[in-house]
Amino acid sequence: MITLESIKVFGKSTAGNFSGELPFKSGLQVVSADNAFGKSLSVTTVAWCLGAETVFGLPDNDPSCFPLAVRDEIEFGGKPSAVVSSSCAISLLHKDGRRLKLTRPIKGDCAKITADEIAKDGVVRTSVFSARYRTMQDETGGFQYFFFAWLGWPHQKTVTFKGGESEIYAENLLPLFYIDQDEGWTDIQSLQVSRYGQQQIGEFAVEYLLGGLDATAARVAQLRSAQMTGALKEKARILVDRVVAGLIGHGWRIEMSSFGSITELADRWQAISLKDILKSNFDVDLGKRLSSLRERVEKLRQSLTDAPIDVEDVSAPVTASQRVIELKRRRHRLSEDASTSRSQVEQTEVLLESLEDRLSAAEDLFRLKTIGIGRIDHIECPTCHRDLDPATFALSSQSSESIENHIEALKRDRDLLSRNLVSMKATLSTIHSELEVVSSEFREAERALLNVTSAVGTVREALAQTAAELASAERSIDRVLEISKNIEAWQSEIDAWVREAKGVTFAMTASSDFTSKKRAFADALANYLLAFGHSAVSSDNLAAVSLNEQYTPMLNQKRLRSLGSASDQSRLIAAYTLALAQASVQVDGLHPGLVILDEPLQQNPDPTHRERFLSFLSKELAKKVPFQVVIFTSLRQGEITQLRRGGVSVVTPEGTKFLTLEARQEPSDVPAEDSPTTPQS
Amino acid sequence: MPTESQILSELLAGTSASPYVHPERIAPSTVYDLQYRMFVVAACLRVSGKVEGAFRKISANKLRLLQFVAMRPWLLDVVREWSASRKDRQRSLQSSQSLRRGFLSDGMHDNLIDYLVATGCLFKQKGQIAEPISSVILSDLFDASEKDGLFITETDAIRELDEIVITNDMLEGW
Repeated sequence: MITLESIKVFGKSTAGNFSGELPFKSGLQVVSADNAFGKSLSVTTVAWCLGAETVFGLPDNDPSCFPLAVRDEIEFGGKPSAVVSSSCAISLLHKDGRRLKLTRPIKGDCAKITADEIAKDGVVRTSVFSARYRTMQDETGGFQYFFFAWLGWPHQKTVTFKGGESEIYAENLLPLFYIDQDEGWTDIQSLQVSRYGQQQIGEFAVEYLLGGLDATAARVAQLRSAQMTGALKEKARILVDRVVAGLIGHGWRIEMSSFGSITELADRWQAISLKDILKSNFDVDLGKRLSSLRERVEKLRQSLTDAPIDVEDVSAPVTASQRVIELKRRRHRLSEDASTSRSQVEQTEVLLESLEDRLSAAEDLFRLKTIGIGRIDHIECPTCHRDLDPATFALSSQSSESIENHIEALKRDRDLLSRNLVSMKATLSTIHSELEVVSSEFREAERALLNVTSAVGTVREALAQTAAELASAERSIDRVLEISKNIEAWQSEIDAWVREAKGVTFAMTASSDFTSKKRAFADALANYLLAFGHSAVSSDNLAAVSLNEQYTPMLNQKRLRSLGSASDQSRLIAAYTLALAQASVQVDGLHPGLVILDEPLQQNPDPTHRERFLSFLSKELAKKVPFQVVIFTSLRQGEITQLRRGGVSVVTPEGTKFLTLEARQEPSDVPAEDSPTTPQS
Repeated sequence: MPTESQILSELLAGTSASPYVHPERIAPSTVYDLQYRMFVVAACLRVSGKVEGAFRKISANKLRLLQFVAMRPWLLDVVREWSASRKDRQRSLQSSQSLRRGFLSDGMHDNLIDYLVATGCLFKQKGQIAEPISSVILSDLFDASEKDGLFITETDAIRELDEIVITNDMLEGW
């Protein structure tokens, strides 16, 4: 737990040195000053000194979150002066008595933060850190690395959308205890930085501040597991596509899918043996086919070299010719099948396209009907002024329900057609691959026939025929060997995938300890909502206030944000922020124990909102907060008196401006440290 | 007035049969909806109509073709081919074959035009269909649908058709 002791802004202008300081104490306090006093400048200082300017959507080391008065030109007594240099500082007190003063230039070298560590005995150690560059990674020069250590905050990894790891940074935690005027009130954690690509960072931040490090670890494990599952599924899909397409290329169409969970898929695929599938579904045994081809090659080679040749045998040209005729017939039949199949695919594609168009028309018409444009409620004849019923012209207007039913029917037809198309394309691929093999065999047979018919005499004819058969058999062996090699490669890929899937460790679940922390947060939230006067929450439904998996406030399973009035939004954000700090104290979490609310009253001009907020501040729940709450706002004199009477600490800084010109002194490059604005409490 | 399915259900209920209705199977197509057809006519007039005085006009035959193809954009290629073969009578007859089916029996379009004429939204003028510029029903329907991004396929199809040469000879030679 820390306490913000002071905020200071100082610098040098052409008119002289200027400065402004606001001191704070523990517990609740309201800093009330007129608009344009410089309250927001003070509030911005906190985020800037913590190196968290990215919460404002700015690039690293960009001070444009500050007003021009500290960056460019400042007015004193209506006279403008150029700002030569400016800096700001915050002073923090740790609950164990250590102090830390953080100083960061605004106009100057703003990439550096100077940290003065002040021990309990008063010994000061000054270090200079890089504000943004490797802020969490650099153990010696990174500011956030140092600051987390000073606070006693552990480092916590998160998972990024790209599958990498990222730390939780100060700017990820700040939106839960720092609500700025411009964007902070638009939503819970609206200042959360999303551009680092950390997954579920909002949930991580809540769990971290509640001290649920086991819950954050479980969340990391879950996200990792989800990423791994996604990657495995994608790998399985690609593998299936490749194997199925590859087998279709050889004329075998098998049923293999990547549907189902990783465990189901791993169990299913474990039982897959491509060789067995080919054997059972297509009666293909590549081993046997190879042995038989090798035997045949041996016999042909023998008959070509050693075996006697029957000079009276004239069957060689007939056999070669017969084979050519047979292959030609097969090729013709397959070409016809391919043509029919191609035409079916084309027609189905056109049909599918027309279905898509009809579906789009039906969906648009449904929208048209539900919007209510062009609805003809009453039309009359322009001459006789009698009602014209479209039914007289055999026309009718369909109901939304009827169109919805039609959309459903079209969707069903589309799914059916899509599946048919996939099947037809697979059939076409099978036919094409078979056609390719038959065409190749046909060309070989033609060449063989040419050789046999060119040979003179029965002996040469027989030799030519045997040689052609031998060449063909050898090419078949090469083909079978190539297929076997492919099948073995695919099988080993499937086996490797199964091994990988079986080795995946699944996510841990959050411990019951965190459930109690979450419960404490929800209870505190209910109490704060009631105290703030949220219009949807009453003492009767207090028990129905809960937090969902994303720590979104819910009431009876409905998002609280969507309940109540528009002015309840800022009350919800204030209650959420304070409840988190309260719960963290209760469960010994990691919340810094500091809440800054900038201009909560400007979020709604509604007088009731103002009354309810002031009424909240006077309640014991607010006055006795076990952490520091600093509220920057502008109160009327009567309201200040009323709050002070009720025991609320209201600070009203003197003067009309936070930054004032210091008394003229000898020119110096060192900015003045003294003459703060004295608060009146 | 009971619907056909209700009448059928009642008839079947009188027997030992237990009627089981799949409403999605008997839901009519959107092309039979009055509002849809009105939008298509409005889009044809807006995209292809010519403003003449106080009216926006289009040839009745052209409107008939445009609205038919706008509701069936997959026929655009057929129209394109038909247009390309318009100088060759034999080819023209063959290429318009797949367009004739359904087109010649599209009686709903005639009913719709009669209805819109009866309501004063449209006028028939010597083979032309004219929409008074002051009439708001069709133009509001088109503007509101376009603003909401509805029926983009149909409107695009009409725009594409507008680019294709369609002669009177083609339209009247059915």
